[in-house]
Amino acid sequence: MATTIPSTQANAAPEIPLRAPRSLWSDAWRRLRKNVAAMASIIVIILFVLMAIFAPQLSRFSPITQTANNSLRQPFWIKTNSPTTTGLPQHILGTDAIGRDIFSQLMYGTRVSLIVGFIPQVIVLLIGVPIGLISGYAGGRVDNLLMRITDIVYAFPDVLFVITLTTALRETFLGQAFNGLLLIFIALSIVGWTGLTRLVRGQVLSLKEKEFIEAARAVGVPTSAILFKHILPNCLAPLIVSVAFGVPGAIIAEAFLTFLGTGMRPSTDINAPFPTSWGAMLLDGYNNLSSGPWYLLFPALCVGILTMAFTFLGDGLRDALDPRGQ
Amino acid sequence: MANGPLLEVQNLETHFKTQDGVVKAVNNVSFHVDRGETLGIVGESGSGKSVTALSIMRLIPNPPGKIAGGKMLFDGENLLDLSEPEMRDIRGNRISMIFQDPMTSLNPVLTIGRQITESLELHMKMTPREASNRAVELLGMVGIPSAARRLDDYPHQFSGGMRQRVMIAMGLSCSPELLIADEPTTALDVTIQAQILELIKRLQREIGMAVIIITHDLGVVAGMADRVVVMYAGRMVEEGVTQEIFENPRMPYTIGLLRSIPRLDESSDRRLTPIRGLPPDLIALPEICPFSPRCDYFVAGKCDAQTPPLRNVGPDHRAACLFDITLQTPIPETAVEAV
Repeated sequence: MATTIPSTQANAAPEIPLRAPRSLWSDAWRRLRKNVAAMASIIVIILFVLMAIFAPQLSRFSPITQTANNSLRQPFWIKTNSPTTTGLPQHILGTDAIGRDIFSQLMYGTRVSLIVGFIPQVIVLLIGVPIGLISGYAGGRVDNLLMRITDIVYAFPDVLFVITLTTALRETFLGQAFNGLLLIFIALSIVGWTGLTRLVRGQVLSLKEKEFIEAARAVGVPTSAILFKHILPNCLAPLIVSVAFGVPGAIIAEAFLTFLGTGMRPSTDINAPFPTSWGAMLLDGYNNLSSGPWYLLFPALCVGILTMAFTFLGDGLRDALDPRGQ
Repeated sequence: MANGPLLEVQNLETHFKTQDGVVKAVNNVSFHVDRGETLGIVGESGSGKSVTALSIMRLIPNPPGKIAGGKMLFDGENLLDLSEPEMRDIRGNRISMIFQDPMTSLNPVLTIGRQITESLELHMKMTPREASNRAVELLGMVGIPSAARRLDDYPHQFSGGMRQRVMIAMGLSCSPELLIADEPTTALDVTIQAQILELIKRLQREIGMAVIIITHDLGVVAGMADRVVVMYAGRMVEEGVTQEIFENPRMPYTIGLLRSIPRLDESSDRRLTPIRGLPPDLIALPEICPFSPRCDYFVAGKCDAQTPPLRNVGPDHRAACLFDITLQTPIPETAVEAV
């Protein structure tokens, strides 16, 4: 016989690789990966984060040690005739008016900016999300009451409020904790939660009418579980975008407050984890502007690059999480 | 277990407050469901079928809705007297519900597995592991192939029929005593419809639960239900054994419904006659027969003088018509001219 019956072993159906279950998140990640600006931003942010974490290892000089005859030194590529101000390779970006290394200060300053970017956002999430969820889901009087409170906070000029609060409480324990950072966190959170609350409430208002929420109620899911397990995951996409855009706002706010002298206070303690911030450097640089633009330019560039990175990331996340918007 | 019907609805009234006035969406409705039987509730859109179902689950959105009166005895216990937590223990556990549109009834951001295990963990106090094993079993029961692998899939990876199977698996997860299926097949195409109905029937036999099937499709009722309740304008207008309703309808509305659909056991040259007119506005419903403006057998001075009560017209057969009208009663000349 010419034809041979293939053995069942050989005849077995070929293994077709099954596509792994694809969640909305993995889909969003795939789209985000294609976004060059967003991916570059992520790399920039990671670099800044590494810089913040390893600032003590990366910097040759303490950001607060003042060295005599070493002040207002130019960046290393600028040579002057005076040996006290000419650029030196060890002080890459030069020194400030009291002889502190600028590069070291920038690295330590990253810590403040990043932490000021994130912690108020966390507090804002913790306040804004529950209020928005409850307000939207409960409706009626509860909604009315919570929304009027939100309106009042929203209507108050926030910059004025933050400056008033930070100035008024500057000399109290609260104002001195963590070099004044705690007060900034609190002030920024108090004015910052309203936008998020409104966002969440709007989402909940439309989501709670969806059939799958009715179906969850028909299964006997308690209200709290409906809110946090069924509704909240559906609002995560806009929430993430909102947080990504909120971070640069907070970074700028801190720099701005510190520049005005009501924000973070530079420390003279050698072991302080947050000895200085970009805002404090901006203030110093502004005061020494006549000696050279560098002292203002470097911190300003850092603030610009980091906020831009977060903004591009926010943009990328918005496109990735809501493909219909494109 | 108490004897008597599993669910007995007595004089149920559900009202909705709107800007124009109070809508009596369910008006004095009484019926019962025995253990293991299938009750069909038929009616056109807005006749109060779905509101009746939601009332039984106590899921009427309040405000604007409100259960204004009546009793719903489930296993001898009035559901209206229960607190919200007690009611939650019943929902999904002893009474569960399948919704009309499987495309929107599953949460798009949660996996199928998560959505099925939720009620198991909630009501049966299962551990996540037990629950997910049971979920695989349930998905297998409703005919989803390689169920274990599909637990981690999201709803958008399922077709409409598959999703309705998932919904049924969710509904059956705690082996309920009563399953309310609110137009379970409306959003599906005909072949899938037949499969889903067959599935519900099979599972009903296996679990021994009672089913209330709500539909506007008389074909579905004919194939599924033991008894039928016909609703019109928030009221019950006829109730009886399925066979009896189809062979000997006694309410002109039911007769109209049957005349408006084709039947396989009839000659094909019969013309389908639609019911003329529109259902009445439920806000300002006068004390007349709600169907009288559309009725071919309308008798002035009688039908517009009172709301006809349900009366016995045969064994286990009640109809809300003052007259003894049957399929054979000739349509009066005047009505034909009016069309």
